[in-house]
Amino acid sequence: MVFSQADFLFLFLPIVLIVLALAKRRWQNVALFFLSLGFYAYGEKGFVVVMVVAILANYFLALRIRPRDTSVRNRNRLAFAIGLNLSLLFVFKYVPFLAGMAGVKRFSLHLPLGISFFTFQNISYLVDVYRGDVEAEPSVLNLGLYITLFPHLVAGPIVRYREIVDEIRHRERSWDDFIAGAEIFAVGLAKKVLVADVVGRTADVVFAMPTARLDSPLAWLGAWCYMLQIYYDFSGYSEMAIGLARMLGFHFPTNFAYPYAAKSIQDFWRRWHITLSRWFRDYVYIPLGGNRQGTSRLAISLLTVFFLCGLWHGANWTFVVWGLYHGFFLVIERGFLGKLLARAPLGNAYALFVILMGWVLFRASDIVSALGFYGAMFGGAHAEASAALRDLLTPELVAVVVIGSIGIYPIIPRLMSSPRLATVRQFVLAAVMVFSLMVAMSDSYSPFLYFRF
Amino acid sequence: MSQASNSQMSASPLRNGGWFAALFLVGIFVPFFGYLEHLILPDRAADPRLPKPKAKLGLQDWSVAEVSRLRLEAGKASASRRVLLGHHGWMFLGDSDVIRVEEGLNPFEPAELKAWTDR
Repeated sequence: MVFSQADFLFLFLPIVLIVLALAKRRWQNVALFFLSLGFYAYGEKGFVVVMVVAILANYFLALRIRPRDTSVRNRNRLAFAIGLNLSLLFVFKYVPFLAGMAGVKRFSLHLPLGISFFTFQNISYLVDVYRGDVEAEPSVLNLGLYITLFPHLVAGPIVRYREIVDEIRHRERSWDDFIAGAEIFAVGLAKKVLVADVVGRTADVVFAMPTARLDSPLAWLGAWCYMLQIYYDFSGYSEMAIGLARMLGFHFPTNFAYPYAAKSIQDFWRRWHITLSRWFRDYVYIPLGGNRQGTSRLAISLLTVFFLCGLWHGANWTFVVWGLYHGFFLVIERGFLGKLLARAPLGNAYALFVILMGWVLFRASDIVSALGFYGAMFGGAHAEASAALRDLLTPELVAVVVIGSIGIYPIIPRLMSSPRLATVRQFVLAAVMVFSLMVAMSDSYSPFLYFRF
Repeated sequence: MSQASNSQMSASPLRNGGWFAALFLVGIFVPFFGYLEHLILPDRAADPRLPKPKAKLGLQDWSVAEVSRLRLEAGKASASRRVLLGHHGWMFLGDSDVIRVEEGLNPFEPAELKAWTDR
């Protein structure tokens, strides 16, 4: 089930709100846990067993880990627990890829929804227990709720246990939180159904065309549409998750902060999928030595982190190369480029160009297709592609691309931040919300891009 | 003074953006109750010999029609991936290869051509 799907918005969510309104305080967590399992089972059916096994395994393993004990025995316990979580991810996500590389045909496994997200959350919980940042949760229900809580279950944000443990144990649901949550949710829904889905249709058409039939304007349109799609799709999803959580009384961390307004790739990764970036920073980059290393060690650490980051996104060489591509730019920014960018006024243009080229790699089915697409972007124009471009450029697409391209910068929130415009802002948001709900009710199934990761 | 105004604001759930959240609840509960009504109450007007229609969300037909009309009239875009809009109001079923064939963009491979001519 996805948040913009009619089944979720108009059936599951009302049921959740009714059940939580009727349930007494001590039954709230039980109700939310089973509703979350139901949410997962709706799409994944039998794989809910994998989820329950992961909850039980992490519950017992965390209780065995002693906080701040660096003995070999305790470290082995942590390593075993992390290994178990990673092996789950490895089996479902990477074994089919490795089997394909080894020439084994017709071998595939269903990838359980959100496995990359909940595996990383579980690892963060185990490491935080080992470091003594949190105590191992004595209630299996509370830990189960942390892992399965439906707003973050399938595509993040990657929430740490210590961030919501107090709210799991004791939370106050308020009407003010519900209002704030509804507003955040409405913005996320609009991003998804009014922008991401419209530009996504064009990106799908362009990337499905053989690269020989593309020309430069059409390829740039497809790449730009995909760049907008992945941002509005994923940040929209994150905002819907944050808004839903807020309605239920949880406060999730921000996941996006205008990443396309970044002035360097380093800046981009401080703004894009923030909860994933800080996960890699705290659990991989800092243990590898962090910033306190020589130039060559630092470069190796950065490339390792971004190799893993690429691999986390998917079992395909395109993702690995995409990760290393970003790692490469981070390395050279740490060297000479960072100083140049600090002085040059075109930092954002540079960052956008590098990001856009990276998304082509990310979207392409394989490296050869990506190279063909780059060739089309920097090639000439031809008649067949020009006709296709004319057909694609409907007034709807032009309007959405223009609005979407303005929306990547924090211009509209700044204009609307004046207290005098508060009422106008809410009326505009209300109109957008009503229209988004109508579109969500009308549209056929449209999955979020990050579900596949 | 500020405490008084705060308690005044919290007294009315529709104040301070509360009307927005109320509108949100209306937006998700009207389709929900429409679905329940369709599911629970039999459609008396329907011919009993016909199969029972699939339950629909409240206001779903209206939403589909209005969104499609707006996208077509203002955005000059089709509301369905299955329908392609041509010039002068023509529509084409988009899930076939008919347009590419018509434009000569989907020629036979040599083997296919031979198989066709040898028939």
